[in-house]
Amino acid sequence: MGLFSWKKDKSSQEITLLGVKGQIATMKCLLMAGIKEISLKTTLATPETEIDHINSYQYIEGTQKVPTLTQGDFSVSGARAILTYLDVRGKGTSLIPKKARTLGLQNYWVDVCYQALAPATEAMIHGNMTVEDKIALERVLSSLNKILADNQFIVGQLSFADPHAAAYIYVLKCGGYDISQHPNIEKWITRIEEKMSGPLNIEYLPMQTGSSNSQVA
Amino acid sequence: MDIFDQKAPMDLDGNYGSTGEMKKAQYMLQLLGTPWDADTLKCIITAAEQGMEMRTGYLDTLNAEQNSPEYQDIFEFGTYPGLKEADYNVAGANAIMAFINARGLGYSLVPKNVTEAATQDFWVDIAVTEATPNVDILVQEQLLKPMTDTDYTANAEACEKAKANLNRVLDLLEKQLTGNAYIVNKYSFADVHWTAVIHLLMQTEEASLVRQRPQISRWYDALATRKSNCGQDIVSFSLLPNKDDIKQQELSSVVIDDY
Repeated sequence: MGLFSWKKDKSSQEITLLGVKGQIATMKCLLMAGIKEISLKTTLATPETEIDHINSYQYIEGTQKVPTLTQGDFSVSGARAILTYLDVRGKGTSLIPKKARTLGLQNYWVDVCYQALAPATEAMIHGNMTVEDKIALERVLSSLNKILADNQFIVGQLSFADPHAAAYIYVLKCGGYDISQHPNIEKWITRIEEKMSGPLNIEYLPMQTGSSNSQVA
Repeated sequence: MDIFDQKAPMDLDGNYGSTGEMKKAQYMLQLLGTPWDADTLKCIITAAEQGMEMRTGYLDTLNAEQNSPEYQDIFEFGTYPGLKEADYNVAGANAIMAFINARGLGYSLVPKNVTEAATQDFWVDIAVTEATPNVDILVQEQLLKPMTDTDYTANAEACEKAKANLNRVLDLLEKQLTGNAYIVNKYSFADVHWTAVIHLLMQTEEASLVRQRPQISRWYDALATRKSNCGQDIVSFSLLPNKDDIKQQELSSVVIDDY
């Protein structure tokens, strides 16, 4: 590129998100956008397509996937990738911890979300939560509650672990799951919301068809 | 002595950093996992790529050792593979890989460019959520169950379904690798994830799923001789278990000889 050539400024281009209402992966993206003060134009995919609420993305009509983020000519799918993108594009410092041990801990909790929180939450969504699911869920919630008694956020500083885990808590609360026995989790959710630029639209069930702008302002 | 020291003891004598010449003994890692688990293999690859010595030990997941009090004293949800570095423990491939990447000697395996980093994570996501569950079915049906029951016949229906799912995902990977040496520009975590998954698939009876795709074959074969990015004389691919290693429940440790 020459010295005086014009480089397109991607940061000013609108960011759009194709998601599914109530989908945990979509909710993670909305949370991250809120924390990083990014204005998203959100379009909701039709619920007729078979959407797995837990998986980070799903094929729609053979070609599209949700959640999918687009900015200019760049497009990417899946909560993992979208969170990475929003973290860099958004305001403030990166949510990725600089210290190796804290970074490892962050990813540990992201994995715990996928492996322990997700199956129990999925069971609750589908109304077939077993005693074992509830025990597994309570173990994670108790552990989080204990950690959050000492920490402002899951690994101390605000990190990727927070939007990942908070998305499940929102879904559990909207689904009527009682988390009042874990007061530190409730306080932590409040702290996350204080970091956000606007309220999160957490209407969850039933899924709705259509389009709405800026679920996160 | 905890479960790490029982199963993956650090024999410091004569090994990297053991005499303190590089003060690296504190960085020696201990890993517990299984040779048929893609997540375990990803951790071994990352350690080799980043030049981190790592002792490995077999975690008997066939008998649910991850749920034993000894293991859950360290990792309360039984997450595996598990890693220990001195007084630090962490579990799960994403955590361990990120930790080693940050600690290691080579360039970071996360691309600096934001679109490349996001694209990398997209391919990691596909490896984890789409490819791994189907490869796991083939590994279970064709390798593990016959290992414990010699009369076992693989569930043909489950295998066919897994193959059909893999065909769709591998077609996407084949397209992505066309014209690219690696999945996303430079060698990255996307390659580490897919190396583990494709390698396990190659150990099953369905290696043709890989071999019938020239781009994936080319990429996989090139990795077999690729030296690690830490600059040390080690090929991470050479540490991956073959079918016999899997049967013997053996994992390779990462040993650095040219320090």
